[in-house]
Amino acid sequence: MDLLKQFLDKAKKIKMRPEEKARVLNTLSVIIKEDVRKAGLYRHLLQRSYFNVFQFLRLKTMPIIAIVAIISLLGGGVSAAAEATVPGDLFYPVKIGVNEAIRDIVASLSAETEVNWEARKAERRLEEAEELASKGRLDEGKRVDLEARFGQHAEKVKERVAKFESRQEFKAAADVTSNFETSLRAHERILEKLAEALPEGSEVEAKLVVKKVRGEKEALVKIRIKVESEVEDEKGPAVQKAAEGKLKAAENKIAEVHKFLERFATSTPVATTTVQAQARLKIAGETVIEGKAKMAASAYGEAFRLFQKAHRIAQEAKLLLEAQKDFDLEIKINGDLAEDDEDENGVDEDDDEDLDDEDEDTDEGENKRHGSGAEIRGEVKTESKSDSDKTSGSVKIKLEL
Amino acid sequence: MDEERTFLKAYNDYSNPIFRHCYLRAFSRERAKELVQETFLRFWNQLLGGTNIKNARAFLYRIANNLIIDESRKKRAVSLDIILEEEGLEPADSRPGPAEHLDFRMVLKIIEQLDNKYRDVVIMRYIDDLSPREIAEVVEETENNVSVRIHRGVEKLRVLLNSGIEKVRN
Repeated sequence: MDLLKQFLDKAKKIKMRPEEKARVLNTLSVIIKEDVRKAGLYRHLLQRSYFNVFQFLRLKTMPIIAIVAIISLLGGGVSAAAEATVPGDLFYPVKIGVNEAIRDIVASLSAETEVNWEARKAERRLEEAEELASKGRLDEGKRVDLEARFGQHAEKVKERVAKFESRQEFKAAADVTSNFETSLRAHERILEKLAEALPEGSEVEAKLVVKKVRGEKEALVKIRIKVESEVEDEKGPAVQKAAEGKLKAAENKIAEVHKFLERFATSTPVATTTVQAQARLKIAGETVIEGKAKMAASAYGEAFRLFQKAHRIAQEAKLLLEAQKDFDLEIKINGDLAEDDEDENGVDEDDDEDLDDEDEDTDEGENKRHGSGAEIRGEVKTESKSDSDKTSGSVKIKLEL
Repeated sequence: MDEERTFLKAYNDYSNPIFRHCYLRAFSRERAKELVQETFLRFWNQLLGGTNIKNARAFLYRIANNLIIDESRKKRAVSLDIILEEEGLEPADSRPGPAEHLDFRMVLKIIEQLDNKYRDVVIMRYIDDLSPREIAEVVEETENNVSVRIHRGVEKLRVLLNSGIEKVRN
């Protein structure tokens, strides 16, 4: 046999033993994992946000020099101003690519803050859709974009909830699901109302968003019911503690909405919504009392469920009051408990009663929400680590551009 | 993360060939493993830094080749015999062959006798199966120069092989 060939064949067989190969990889992995971790933190800011923002700006017809001039003049104001933007606005990419990206990092500190922020992002997409719809500017392109992003955020929320469930953190799962469900229900109604106010033909897009929101809401209701039963099934003092926590949360929420209602009633003329909100608060209060009775009877699972319900009712009242203020809409809140009227899929059985036109007062001509001086509304939600103690506040910043 | 996936694939596919290449040039298993580690570490840093790497294999060989060259410049040349003794010679294929057949130790001795500038291209061409164009990329020479060197290297190798066997027989 040709020596050369022999030689080459022998040489080709040289290789590491499997354990040697693995050991080298192990050593490398330590460094790689560390780098990946570090890169993950910076990646949001460096790669996605700024790069994408400037890519987008470059595509606009505005000359770059003008954009640079504006940005340098406004400085940090751009970020604040971007908060009020909607799809189609020049600085909308800043809202998503910079502001939200930064808050992504801040929120990633704990599982709770992460999932709450994810839910908040979903809400922001709906608020943007509402803003556009109220001005008749919700076209197919924007709707598709918002719907997709909303869907992504909602999916992430559901994923995180499933993670909580798998880790037996049922209380956390219950909190998230309940709050998100309420929010979706409120937005569903708001969008429905806005759609009605639109001229014939152009309400198509808004109605599609309603459909999407409703779908997600129904999914959330199913999950919420499941999680509540998981809480009830929990043995030991955990359930009692959860119920006590929920009671405090419900009472806090009711008090908060009361205060909100007081301020609201004095600043705007008395409207049907206000009256109805008061009625809802009353029902919430009654539900709390019901829950307390269950506590006394040691039916902690039941109590938990009732306190959560009370919390939801109060929260929904607040969201609808806010909507009325923002869009000058009167959204009739059912006199009865809306939830009781929904079958187990979360579908409103007496939807028809809700569509009462006589209270409608949409103001399309005047731009009440965002005047020429940008009025930015930010929401500050702080979640403390103790049992579901939540505070919610609204921050209004007036920025003269 | 994309870079992680790219890296793992490259390691899976090329860690052994790179090891073999380094072993045939450094003659030490330990040293070869260290070189593999260093090569892939630099590869990783390039990946992370966003370098667009079209041909991972050629890229890895380039890194390895440069590391080996740097090392040979710094280190004093150590006698191969000493290295081989320290090694205790652990070839991957350690089945003892018949006497007149080429044994592993001889392989290494012969390779070592080949001039440096022929050794690397011959290894890359006939053992690593890189194309002349890829080799040109690695050593940063023209493809033509590389082809010429390969041919000359193979000839020299044949001569060494034949005379080497003769020595054993005698």
